[in-house]
Amino acid sequence: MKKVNRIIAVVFLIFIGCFAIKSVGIKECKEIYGVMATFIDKVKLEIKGDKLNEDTESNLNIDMKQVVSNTENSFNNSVFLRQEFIDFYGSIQKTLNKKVQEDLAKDNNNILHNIAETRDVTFAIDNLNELSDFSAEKDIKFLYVQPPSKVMEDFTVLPKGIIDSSNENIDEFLKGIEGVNYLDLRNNIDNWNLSKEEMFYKTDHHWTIESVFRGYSDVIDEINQLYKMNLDPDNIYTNIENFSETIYEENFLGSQGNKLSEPYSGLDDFNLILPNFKTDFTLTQILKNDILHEKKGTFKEALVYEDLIKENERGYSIESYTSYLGYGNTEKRIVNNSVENDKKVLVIGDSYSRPFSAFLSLCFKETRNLDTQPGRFEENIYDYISEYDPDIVVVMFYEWSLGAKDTFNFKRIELK
Amino acid sequence: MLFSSSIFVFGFLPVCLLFYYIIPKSRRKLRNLFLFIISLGFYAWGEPVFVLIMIMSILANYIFGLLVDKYNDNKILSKRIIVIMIILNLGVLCTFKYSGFVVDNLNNIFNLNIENPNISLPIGISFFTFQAISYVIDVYRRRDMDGDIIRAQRNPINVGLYIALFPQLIAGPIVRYKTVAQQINHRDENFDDFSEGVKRFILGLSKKVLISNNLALIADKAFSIAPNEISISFIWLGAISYCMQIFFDFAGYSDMAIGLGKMFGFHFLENFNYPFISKSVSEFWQRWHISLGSWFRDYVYFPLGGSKKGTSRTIINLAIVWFLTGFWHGANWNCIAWGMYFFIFIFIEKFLIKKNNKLKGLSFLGHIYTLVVFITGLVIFRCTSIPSALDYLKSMVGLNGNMWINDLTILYIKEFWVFIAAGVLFSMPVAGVIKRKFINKIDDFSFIKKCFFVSIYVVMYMGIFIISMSYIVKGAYNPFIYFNF
Repeated sequence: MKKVNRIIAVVFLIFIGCFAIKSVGIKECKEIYGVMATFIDKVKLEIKGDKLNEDTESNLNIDMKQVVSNTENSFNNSVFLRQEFIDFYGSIQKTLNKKVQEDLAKDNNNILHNIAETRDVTFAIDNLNELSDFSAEKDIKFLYVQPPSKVMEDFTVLPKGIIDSSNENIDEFLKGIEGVNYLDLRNNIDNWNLSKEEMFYKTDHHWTIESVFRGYSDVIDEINQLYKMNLDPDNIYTNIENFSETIYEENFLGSQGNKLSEPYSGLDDFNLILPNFKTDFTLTQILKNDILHEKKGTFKEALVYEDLIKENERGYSIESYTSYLGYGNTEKRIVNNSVENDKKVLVIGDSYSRPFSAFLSLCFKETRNLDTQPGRFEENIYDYISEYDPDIVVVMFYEWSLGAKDTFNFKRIELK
Repeated sequence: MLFSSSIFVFGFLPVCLLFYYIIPKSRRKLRNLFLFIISLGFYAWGEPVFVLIMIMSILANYIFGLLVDKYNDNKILSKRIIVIMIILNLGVLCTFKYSGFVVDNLNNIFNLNIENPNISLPIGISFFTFQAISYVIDVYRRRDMDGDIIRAQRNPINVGLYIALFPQLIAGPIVRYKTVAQQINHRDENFDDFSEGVKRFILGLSKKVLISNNLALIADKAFSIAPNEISISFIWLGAISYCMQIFFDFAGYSDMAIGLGKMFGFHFLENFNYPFISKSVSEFWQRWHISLGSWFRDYVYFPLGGSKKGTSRTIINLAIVWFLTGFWHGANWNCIAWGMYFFIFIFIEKFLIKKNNKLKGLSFLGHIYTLVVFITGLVIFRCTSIPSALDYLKSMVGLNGNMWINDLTILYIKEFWVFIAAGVLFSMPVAGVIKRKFINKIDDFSFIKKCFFVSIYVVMYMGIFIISMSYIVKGAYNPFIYFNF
């Protein structure tokens, strides 16, 4: 028995020893050192400025705890074979047939869902109504577009006991903005000629590009009906027949799958939809009023970041959805050099609005997209609208965002 | 720093073991110094400022130990030193832990407006303060576990090592000075003990990460639902899960502490002894958090007279001990109520129920009674207020118009049945049975059979270790429940 124990001890020591050596490599040491050095500099400044007092000591304690926390996170992120551990964890959950993990649930079709609680959408309602009124005062057309919910009637069956309120939240929100022109795409999905499985990624909270295109087409129809803007009069830019679809099979691990690991969630196909006709675009990415970069060329060359579809060493990409117009932290300005109108559109929304804006830019001379979630576009939207003076403002938010006060704080006032 | 973290398992522990064992065994003082410094570093990692409180506690109690040792023959003087020591130690503990509670209650009772000091509670202060008190009192009492004479440590590092030793610093067990007095200067680190320590650590880690953390999800969900909305089955499921969460967290931490202690040559006493097989509440508390119970018995109950001064005095002494036990667990009325709740049952068992031979065949009733009492008691402990606790207790018997069962109960049983089953199984002395039937007979097996079982055994241990680490690295739910201590 003692010999067995010794074997276990030796194996254990070898295991933790190897992991210690491999986890804390030079890069990780530099990272951890960097975190601590920043803190030490801060302390030196405090001492130099002779500012040591009760508050400072208390703040230092909090700061030191933050340093410790950051160091622990850095270490955890650099653990040797980290992804293999996470994948192993995912395999265990799959073996245990877990349907609910953290705030996610797997439905009867093995599609992942964020479980939506009842949200207070009052703030969103009030601010959207105000924004619509403001646009009307400025004689700017306005349309709110509600993307479909991933929890679909007659299709999604969540585990018994899980109550999802996403559709109720949307209903509550739309009820509150009755005076605003809006398009609820949940009512259109049956006409999209797509199976419900094709409408959303099973591992991500976003709608698929196939759904985005159908949604965009419906929005153009709606704008034309409401405002007679005569967009795409020849039905070229909204006809799927004029687009090619390239399917990247088992390419995409979405945000939900990435949280729970690929062995648990599986992978999605990613469908890149591109126009077959001639296009000429300029995309400018702006961050805090500075131009980050510009891209010119065809729809694909200017508006698509193909690198983000590229599979990593594990055989998938976690960013394929972001390939249309890139990350959400920048303001996007798209100029369509080949469209035969001079119309300008401002799209305000979350990540649902990004690929949508890319397609929308086919029908407008200038399209701008602002993501108003915290940490992204943080300027006053009212000022922006006044300055840009678009022909139409289109607002689009996924259900998740409807309870987020910061996102709907278009005036950027200090919230209590 | 948590034991159940990647930085501890893959960072702190291997570095600590490496440098400790690089120091030659003959350099005992150097090994102790290293262990003391690393323990301070371990504490400072979580409490960068409050580590100073610990250092001051070590110095103060070192001096008290020397004084009490020097004047041991002068009982009056040495008792006065003890009193001052207790006042100082408990004064520090009360300031950090109970001042807010006292101020809030004074304000409520006397309608005052005293500003709440809102002092942060240094992690583990309840544990290391009790250890410090134990040190001085055991020096005063002069005898260790084997009846040998204990003297005060001349080297303050050794006092620091005893009080601050990282394996038991944050979550116990409360190691009594008399159990480790000899080990500080005369322990024998050997690979057999080290190996047992490794096994114990792995078992403790898996109890905490795999069983406790998963059952915590059920408990948290149950107690997040309003008492009038929860079903009877789900509140019971939540309460039972909470009971097992606490047990496996605490017992797991104790296992890790004992295992880590063994890796450095220390032998700590057991802290849990399968409490859920108890047939009475009294027996339960002899098996649950043994180090705390015995601490209160030896340092409060016995000095007050124990059961030797008549029935009335015994009852008072018990009430004091259980009041303090509850209060030690948290500065709030729920914890006090929880302590007094157990006092009531212990009182009933000790004084009102006579030993009855006819009841011997109904010992299973004793098991059920004990479990129900403890689980119900934990509902009081878990809630944030007495009214809230009463509300949940009412829900447990359907007095809030609760339905018997709902989809949520079935969902959580389906999702967590493996962990619930593991919790029930491993709260029983299964390991002992397996050991007797298989492990102890391995040496009698044929070579091939032996190799097979040994392989399974090793793979099993490393398997649960790797599974535990996968949960840790993934960042799965890992609550820390000792912030009140």
